[in-house]
Amino acid sequence: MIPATPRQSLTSSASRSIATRTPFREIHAQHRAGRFGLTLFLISLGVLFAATLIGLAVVRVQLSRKGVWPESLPRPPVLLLLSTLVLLVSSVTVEGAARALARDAVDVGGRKLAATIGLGLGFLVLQAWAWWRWLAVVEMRWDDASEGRLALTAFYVLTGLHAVHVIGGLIALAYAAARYRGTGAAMRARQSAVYWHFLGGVWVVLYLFLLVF
Amino acid sequence: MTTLESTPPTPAATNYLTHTRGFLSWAFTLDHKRIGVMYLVSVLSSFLVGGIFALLVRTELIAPGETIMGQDAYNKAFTLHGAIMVFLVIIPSVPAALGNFVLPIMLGAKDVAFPRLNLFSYYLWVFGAFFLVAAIFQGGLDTGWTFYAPYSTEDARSGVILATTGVFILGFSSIFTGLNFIVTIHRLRPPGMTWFRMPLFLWSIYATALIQVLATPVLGITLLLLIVERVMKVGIFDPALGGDPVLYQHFFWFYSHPAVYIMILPGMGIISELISVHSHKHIFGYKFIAFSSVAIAIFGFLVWGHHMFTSGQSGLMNAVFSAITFSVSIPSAIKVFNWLATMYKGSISLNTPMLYALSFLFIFSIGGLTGIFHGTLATTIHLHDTYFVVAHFHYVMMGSALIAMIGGLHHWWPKMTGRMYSETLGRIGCIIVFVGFNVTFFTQFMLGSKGMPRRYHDYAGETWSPELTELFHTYHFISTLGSYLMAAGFFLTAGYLLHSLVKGRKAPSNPWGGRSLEWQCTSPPPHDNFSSAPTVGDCYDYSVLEWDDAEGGYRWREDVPHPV
Repeated sequence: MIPATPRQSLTSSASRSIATRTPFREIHAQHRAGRFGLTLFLISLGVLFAATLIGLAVVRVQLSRKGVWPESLPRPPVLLLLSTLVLLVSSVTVEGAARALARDAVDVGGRKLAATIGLGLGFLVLQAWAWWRWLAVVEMRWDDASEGRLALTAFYVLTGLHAVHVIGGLIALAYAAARYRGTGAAMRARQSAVYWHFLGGVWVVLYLFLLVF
Repeated sequence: MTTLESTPPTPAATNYLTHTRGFLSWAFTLDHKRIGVMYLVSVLSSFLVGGIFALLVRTELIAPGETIMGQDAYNKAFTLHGAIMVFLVIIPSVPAALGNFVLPIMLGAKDVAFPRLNLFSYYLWVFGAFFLVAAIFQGGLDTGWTFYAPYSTEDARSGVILATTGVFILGFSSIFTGLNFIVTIHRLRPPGMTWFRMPLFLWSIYATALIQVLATPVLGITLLLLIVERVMKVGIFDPALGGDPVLYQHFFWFYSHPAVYIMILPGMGIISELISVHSHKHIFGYKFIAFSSVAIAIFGFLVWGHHMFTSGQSGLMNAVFSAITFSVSIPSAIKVFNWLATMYKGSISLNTPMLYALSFLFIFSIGGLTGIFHGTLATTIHLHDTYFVVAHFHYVMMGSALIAMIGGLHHWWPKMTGRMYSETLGRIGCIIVFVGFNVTFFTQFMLGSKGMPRRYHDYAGETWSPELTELFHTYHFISTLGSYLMAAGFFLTAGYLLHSLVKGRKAPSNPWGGRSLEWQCTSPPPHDNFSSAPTVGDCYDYSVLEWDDAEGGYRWREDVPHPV
């Protein structure tokens, strides 16, 4: 009997595991649909972040014109530079994981997924630390700011909104990591990686926005 | 245009209703048909709740002075009526309930692309609905369904956070449903079903889904910022804190105007199916109807500013938004004329679904044309915030979107339940609803043009002349009687539909003579819809069907070969 190639066995066993309700007759068609669905979801989230930035920018411009925007505010904590770096490095590791699992290098893929989760958690810790550092600024300027308090809280709104999505990404990564030897591991890693890259890109935009806000 | 399986359907041993039994088999189902039915039950239950609030509002207005409630209770009643009807009823009614049931079958598919996400969307809906309704028990909500700042930013309104959290969650349910449908239509069309061979209902669902995915996040973030504003006490929308209330309106309507098309486009899709099937005539102007759906979706993103004509928007902006608003009438009119042309020389069966379709045509024409009054900058100043606006959007939202949904419900009821309802009672119910609706809301056009402001719980006292109070009393009295008549029509409808579940005649596979794929599987459909990929033909060519007395439905003509 001729042994099945790895891809054949992957396809057939995966087909059995998804046979419960998927309308797709073929696993690759299902994966393509999954990628398409994720793209649509990212477009939707992109609109969400863009709308947030537009809203905050409009209020900021109006308050400046009214002359109530607080002057000489400190820059966002420098710590954010470090967290940005951590997130960018995690993008590299998750890409490595997705590529490794795509070529069936399971152990490398698993390790890189774990590293990405570690870096993701590190990013959140750094963000939390930055939140705490920024609290000092808020306490100092809150009473003077009156109508311009958005200058102080926009930092929390943007980083918080992003952090919630990072937590979602970490859950996806944890799911991918927990089943890194299972069928469909490459697909899960790729989907998580795409989402993670998106979060990295969004964070860079948010950080630049905060610098000029 | 898709169609028939080459062999007539043979009854399966079980159908999707009997495939598995027990509460858990429904609660954890991934079957799009069951999820559709669960949405339907949830949406119709919400319709009952929203309808009761509507009747309370109308009863308060039946006579001048305080009739059954004070002004605070009145404000809460109309707010909850609006919020429940918009977010829990109309938005999910066609896409999530009927769309879920019909869309995959129309594509000849086993299910939507992501069945688990579909179930997740349903539970998000339930969760969101729970929050929205819970606001009632936390002091209620009296901001109006739009949650306008600064009403919504005031501390005293304690129900705002719960309600907006609910709507935020409902928004994600809507996004996931739209996303699921877009991928399903892209990836699961059967061989031979090109874009221009899809039933028009699917085109409308597709256009709707694009809006759901692209516009809903803006509502989500708007409500989130509102919550942040309330919790952190920081000015974003509240002018007292340095925020901008008009920014809230821009954000809110950037979603909520497209949301109007989330509500009406699927209804239009249903009407395309109903008119063609019940006229037994090929749809006229297929491509025009299909593209007009997409055009309406695109225009929908460009007209939000017409909700702010009187909010201090610049004259230039007003003129631009007014011009674009008028342009929406072009694709809308294209649809209406194509439907009329479809009926022309058709063999029209005045079945209950067709009566609802005809009601839609009448009501939507009035609703659409009165929209032009609001798009015109001069007249909108006079009509702004009057009952003319209330009448207009009820003609579009309720008289069009919801009537279309109820027409669709009657059209697919035999498919969903496997039972036929009483045609006689169906027709009587439709006529009662139609008459009741027009008595209720046409009167409100007159109220509005005479200057009756919306959202007032009273129209007597020092600020009102006795003549005006008398005039408004007459109109409000007629309008309220109309609402009772409409309610009676809906209760009758609910009665005979529920009765049909128990006593109704068994439904044939194809009771109306439809040719899209859902009429090719048994009523109710089997668990997996189709045992093999169906063949595709022209889903609006009815010449191949003939009436079969024995079955009480339509079948493939024996002298016409099946498509290969």
